[in-house]
Amino acid sequence: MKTPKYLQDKISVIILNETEVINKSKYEVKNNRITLRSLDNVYLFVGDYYQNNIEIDILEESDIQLYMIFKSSKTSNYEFNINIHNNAKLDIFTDIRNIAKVEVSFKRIFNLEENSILNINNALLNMGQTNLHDEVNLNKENAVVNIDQLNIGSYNDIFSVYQDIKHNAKSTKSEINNSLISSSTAKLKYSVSGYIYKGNEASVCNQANKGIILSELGEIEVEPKLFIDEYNVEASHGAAIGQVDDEQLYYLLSRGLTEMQARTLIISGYTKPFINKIQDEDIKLMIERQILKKINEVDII
Amino acid sequence: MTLEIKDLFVSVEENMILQGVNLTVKGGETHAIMGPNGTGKSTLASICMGHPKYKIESGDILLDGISIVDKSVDERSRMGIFLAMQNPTEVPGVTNFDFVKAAKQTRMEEGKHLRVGKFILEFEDASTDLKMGKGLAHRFLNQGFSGGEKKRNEILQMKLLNPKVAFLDEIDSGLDVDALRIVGENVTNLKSDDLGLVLITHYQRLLDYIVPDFVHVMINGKIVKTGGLDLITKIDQEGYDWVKSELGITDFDKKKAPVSLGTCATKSSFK
Repeated sequence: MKTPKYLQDKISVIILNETEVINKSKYEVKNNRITLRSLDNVYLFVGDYYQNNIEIDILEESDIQLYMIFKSSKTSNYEFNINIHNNAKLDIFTDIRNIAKVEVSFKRIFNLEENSILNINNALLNMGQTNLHDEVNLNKENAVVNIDQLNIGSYNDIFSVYQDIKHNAKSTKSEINNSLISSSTAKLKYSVSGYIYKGNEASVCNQANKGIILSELGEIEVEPKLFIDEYNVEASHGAAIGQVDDEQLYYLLSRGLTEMQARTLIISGYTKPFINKIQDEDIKLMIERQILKKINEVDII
Repeated sequence: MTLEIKDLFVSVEENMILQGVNLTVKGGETHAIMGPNGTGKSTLASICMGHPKYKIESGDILLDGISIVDKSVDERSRMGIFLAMQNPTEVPGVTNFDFVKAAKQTRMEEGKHLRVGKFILEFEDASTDLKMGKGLAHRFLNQGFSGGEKKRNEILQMKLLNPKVAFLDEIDSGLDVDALRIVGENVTNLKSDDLGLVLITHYQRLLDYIVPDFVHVMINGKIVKTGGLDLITKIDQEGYDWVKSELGITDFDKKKAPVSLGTCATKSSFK
């Protein structure tokens, strides 16, 4: 398998697929286990690789940016266990892109230790059916997770997403921001749950879900849920789903933008904050192109 | 530039709000429209901008002799009409700069492109003039802005978009004394023979900074009195009751808009 062009100049690249492992990094890949350390940018490209559970460890005091790129041409199941040890930070960027309209399923379990930070940025811009389940266990004090997810569905895409955040220790924090766009007949279904168990005081658990439906037959369904068994905590949840806001549209039109330009700008308000967080310029460009492909001009107007 | 509003009747949800407004605004002129709450001042500004909520029952609005009543909101804007809104809308995720740049580009002649570098400097200058701070360009449009910041941001857009006629709808509400002075000075600096201004306000304090040439009093959807600066002082001291007594206006005389009752003579066929 060839290394994708945009990864050819990267230093730490690991490519996994059904038949081979190409490892251009300093890290050992053994028995489906990868251990990442110190300060690094790592690119993990997974193509039609559906072996069992992959285990990733981020060692203590490390600061890793991990780009996880999936490219599937057939029905695939991916499972990951990702352990972030004490005082470590992991920025994980996930890009799922299918070559064909296939069903892909992901289950990722993140385990966070003391003072560790996990920033998840998921770009769900692929076609076909996608099942994603991210479970984050904040196991020790001061563990923090921030999730930013951009999901654009078009044509007859189906996305079924579960996000479970479990506050298993005191003073843990979670923030989820989901930006969802549905056009054509795409269906986006989300179950977003935050759990704070008894005794885990001073924890913060917030989630915000915003969605915009661009077509008559597009669907977005979000179930924001909080399960709180402790008094001294901060928690919030919400879901704002609808069509393009008439007042926003009027405001933009009143400055001379055409309806098409105004709607495009409003939609960019959902996508741009996400894009701006991507630090790798090649990946950023790729995502921008993919977004343009996904948003059907017919649906914008 | 001349904006002519001719015998304008406007309704919203079957209530007639404007009941025969006549007003002519020429380039270089500043008009102040005052009046009690709910008399149609903001409706007049909104209908000139083309807000879809309002319906013109009769009358006309002409810009330089061309009727704009059939023009869309964005066409009116590109023709030169600007409305600084009472409650500017928040648009999350869209930066101020991207928005104003897009608005500016819509005004470019076909085949010409905005020189972005030059425009960045213009934006920064306008932002400095209005004391909006350096980070304004990258802040999301009106999101998290204080009331005063929102109003100043409206004036910033007005400065950069060079309208022919601008309605400032209660631009003074939510402004502290310093912000009012900044807005007042900036608007006054924009005055030229190419710009007609219509100020909608309840208070004299705005008109201390932006001195109008004409002051109109609007009551029950009509301009009932027009005068000069002396009118502002009298209204500030005595309110509007004297105007009503002088002109014999009774309190709320709102007419219903004509409603279609449908057709009585309908036939149904039974199969």
